Amino acid sequence: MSISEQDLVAFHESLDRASNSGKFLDVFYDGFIASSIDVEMIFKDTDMNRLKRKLKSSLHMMTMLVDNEPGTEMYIGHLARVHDRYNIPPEMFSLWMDLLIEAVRVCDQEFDDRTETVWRQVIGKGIAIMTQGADAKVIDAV
Amino acid sequence: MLIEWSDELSVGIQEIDEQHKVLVGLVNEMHEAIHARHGSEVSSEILQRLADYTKIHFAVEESLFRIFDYPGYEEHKAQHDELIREILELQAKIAAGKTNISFQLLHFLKMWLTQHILDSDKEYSPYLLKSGLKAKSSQTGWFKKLWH
Repeated sequence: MSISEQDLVAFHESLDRASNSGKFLDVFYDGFIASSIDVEMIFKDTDMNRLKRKLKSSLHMMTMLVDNEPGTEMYIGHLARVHDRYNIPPEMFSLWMDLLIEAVRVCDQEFDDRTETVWRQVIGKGIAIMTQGADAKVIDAV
Repeated sequence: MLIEWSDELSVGIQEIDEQHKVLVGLVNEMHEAIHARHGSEVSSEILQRLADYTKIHFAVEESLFRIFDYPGYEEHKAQHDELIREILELQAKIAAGKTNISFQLLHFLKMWLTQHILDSDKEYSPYLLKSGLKAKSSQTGWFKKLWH
């Protein structure tokens, strides 16, 4: 499903509002790490600043994917296989998306149903590749 | 030029930066070959050199990780191993005539190289420098002597 220009603008505006709140990354990681013992175990002893950098990078990748930047789908497929080496269960990616959107709900004062739909469209495209894990698209000619 | 080297890509360790510049140069060379329609044999030969150099570069990085007991070794090595596996798989497909080197692949390589440097490599350099690795050497490294 392609994402309209208007929806992309709405996504970026929402991301800006959430980021400008100054608490977006903390709200997300507090919620994500507290969500299950499995998540807590994965991130124990991990530097929080490092995790926040990773999240920014992940969001950047997701937006490049919906912008159809060449090579991005292959790259996210590669990341999916790297995560698969760590036996990260696919449901963890869905949980990641749900709690990310929950953090946006808290940090974006203009958050509404449409904002949620747009976020699910943008992030969902990348999550769909990540959940394929080892079966995600391998480097190939397109 | 597909990738322009900039200070943003520097990890602050001269030897590693030199090796990254070679990788950037090889991706740019492949881009030029595809752009100039030099044919799949030329592109495959550049991919082979890129694969060879990447393996050596990864071995150097992983040696440093072991020597300095870098805590992110396993995670970083998993990224290296997956890329090498994918490139070998791609080369096998090209050799079997099942695929060819594409624009998408080229951009994947660009993205992998730049993101890997920015997201992962920049994480190890502060640790290695703090552990005693020198940022610069007045000597030409064995790696550079062998490759050039």
